[in-house]
Amino acid sequence: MKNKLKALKILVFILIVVTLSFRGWSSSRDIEKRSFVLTQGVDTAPDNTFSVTYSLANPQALGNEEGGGSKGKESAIIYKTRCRNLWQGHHFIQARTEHPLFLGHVQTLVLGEELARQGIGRVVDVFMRAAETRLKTWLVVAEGEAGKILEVAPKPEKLAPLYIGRALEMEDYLNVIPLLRVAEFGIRLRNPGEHPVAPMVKAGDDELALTGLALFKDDKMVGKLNHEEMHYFFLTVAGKGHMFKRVETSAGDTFSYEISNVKRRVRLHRTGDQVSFSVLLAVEGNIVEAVTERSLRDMEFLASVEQVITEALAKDCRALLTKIQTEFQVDSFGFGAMVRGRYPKLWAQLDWDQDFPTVPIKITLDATIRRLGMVSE
Amino acid sequence: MKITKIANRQLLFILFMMRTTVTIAFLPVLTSADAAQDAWVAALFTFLGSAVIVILVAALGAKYPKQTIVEYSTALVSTWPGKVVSAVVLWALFTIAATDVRIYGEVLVTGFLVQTPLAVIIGGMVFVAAVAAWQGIEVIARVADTLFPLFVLMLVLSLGMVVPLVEIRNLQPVMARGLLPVVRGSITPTAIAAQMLVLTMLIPAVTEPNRALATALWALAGSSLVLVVVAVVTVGILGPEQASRSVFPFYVLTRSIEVTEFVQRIEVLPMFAWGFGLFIGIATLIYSLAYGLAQVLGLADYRPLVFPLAALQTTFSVQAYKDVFELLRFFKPRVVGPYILAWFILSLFPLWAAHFIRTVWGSRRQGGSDGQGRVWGQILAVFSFASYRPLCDYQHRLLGSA
Repeated sequence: MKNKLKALKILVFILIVVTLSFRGWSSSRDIEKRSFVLTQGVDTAPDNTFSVTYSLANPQALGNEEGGGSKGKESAIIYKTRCRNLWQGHHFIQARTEHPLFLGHVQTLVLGEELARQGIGRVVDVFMRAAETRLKTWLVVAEGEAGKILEVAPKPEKLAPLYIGRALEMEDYLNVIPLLRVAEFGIRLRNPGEHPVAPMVKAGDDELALTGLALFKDDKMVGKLNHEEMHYFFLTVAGKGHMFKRVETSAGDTFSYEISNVKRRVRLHRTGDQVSFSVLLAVEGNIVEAVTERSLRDMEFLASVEQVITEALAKDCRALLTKIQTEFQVDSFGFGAMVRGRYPKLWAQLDWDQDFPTVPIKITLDATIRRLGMVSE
Repeated sequence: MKITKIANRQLLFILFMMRTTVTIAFLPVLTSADAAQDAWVAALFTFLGSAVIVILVAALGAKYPKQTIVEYSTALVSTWPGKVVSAVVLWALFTIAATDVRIYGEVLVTGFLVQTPLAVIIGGMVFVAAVAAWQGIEVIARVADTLFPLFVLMLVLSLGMVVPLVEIRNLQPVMARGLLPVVRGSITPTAIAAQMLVLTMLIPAVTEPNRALATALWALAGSSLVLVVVAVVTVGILGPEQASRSVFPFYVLTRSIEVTEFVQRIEVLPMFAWGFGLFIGIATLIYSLAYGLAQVLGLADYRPLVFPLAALQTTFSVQAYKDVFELLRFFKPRVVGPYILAWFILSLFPLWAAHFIRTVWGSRRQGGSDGQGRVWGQILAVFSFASYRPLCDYQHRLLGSA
């Protein structure tokens, strides 16, 4: 009797488990039945609406032996819609797709320039709030419309929506720019004393290019830096320095200097209720091009070339700083966070957005030549 | 009822995992009040406050090493007041178990299984824990032995990968707003140390009950260290503003981790650790609850109570909090502080008083000081009930708007 009761219990247990499992099968969402959103673009549209563009992966076009996808099939499918909020746009596009949309693989979030100037706080909030989205999604600002960026199909990349993200990761790998993703943007947006930045991209016929940097005051874009200025910005802010600088001496010799390493130190000084900063940059690099009659083995000449490079780089850094302080008047460097951390009572008295344009910031740069390449003179 | 024995090491693992899972889940040092960048200092204060709770609980249990609280409370304050005291402790264990599993369910529903009903997630975890509780504390302890290294490994991996991303300036200024925000931030995690009430049921099961207090303090120290590190890392990376406004800051932090291009979304690692820890915690709580209730009711075996209590707990967990906001409101210092303080005032305070009186008067004879000790314990129990409301009011005034 005991054994029969035990057997009955086991049978009931198995029946319950199987029944629950069947229920689970009916609402399963296998990977083959999902539509992966790889890139998302958001622009402004009339009547206070958004124009949302999704670039979805088309798995059937991938994996062809000839490469580049099946003939006649694009590797990514573009969907566009207009909506009052992003999730409404998501549902409008969902209604046009066969499978449920999945936002967990969004590589890049592209925002139109006009939208950036109006404010992107709503968009960032959606990304930070949703559990499905990747916080490691790249956040870029398009020169012009974001939708145009998604329509470009660069030749080197089989899956066009992945191009921007991979290009930006390569820039990070080459030490040109740091990681600037939704997570970093959202964190800097909330932290008092610092303002976020985002890379800018521009669409060509069949190529995309990183053209500069968008500076934000809170969630509104207030200015942009070109490609060269962006390099100097990250040189000053993050010690990222893989760039080239061409200099000319007074004797007419020209050199191209490749920055390979940067050590950066920022010091905060306080005099009463006034603060000032000194930024010390120790730059190391290599001569990658030299047009000169003199020998670089001459240590005095080499020192003079270093001096010319130092002055040229320092001049550019100072010009950039002046531009950001006086023209854009936004603390994209994060100096305010230092004041908040070190002198909280003083910070409470300051209106940093008003005070920052007049804060004295001294940049001292020292460039050193490490190598001359494969040619010793 | 026969008591199976567990090693002190196993008790340490159980307490460590039980405490660590809840405190890092929604990081109460950061989210419950306004500690902000001083959350790690609040975590240090939490250790001090929690140590007091552990001493209150474990020291009394160590004085009656072969008895659970149900048994020695009856001896200290006589039968019916003792049962009332035991009922308070059992209610505390029941509420703690239901709340812990509700937090776990909310995280899973918010971040992973958005379509799955909350009751399914909670029911699944509670059912598995109930099976373990039915097997006994020795089985739970052996599972804790097995899962502890995995638990620690996953925590270390999740924290180790993000440490290089910490920015010290996010942790500054340190203590610029004074002590009060830090104290407010430490109230909720200290109140959560009420989980240590399981010691009132587990000390008789330990092989060296005289070392139970030390074991519990070591477990508390370990979990407090984890809490400090998690607070530092979370605030250091997310910043005080973003971290404070997150419902589950540690989960948001792990979403921000990218080790390499192909190793992303590793928030599953701490979720695994959390699931392991929660399983051990819930199983221990259900066991303690069933065992204690069986003793109160005079039953020969606790096992018939396990699954009914598990069913009740699942229902209570789903119904007790309407939504995640109510859950978070419960953990505000102004709410959880007085509520959990009441548990200790209504249970341990009269027991300690009765024990103290017995010890001072030094007699264990019937009708002598032993009887007087019981009378005083009953008086103090009534006093505790009566003084609860004024104490709450005082605490509210002290905390202000926290």
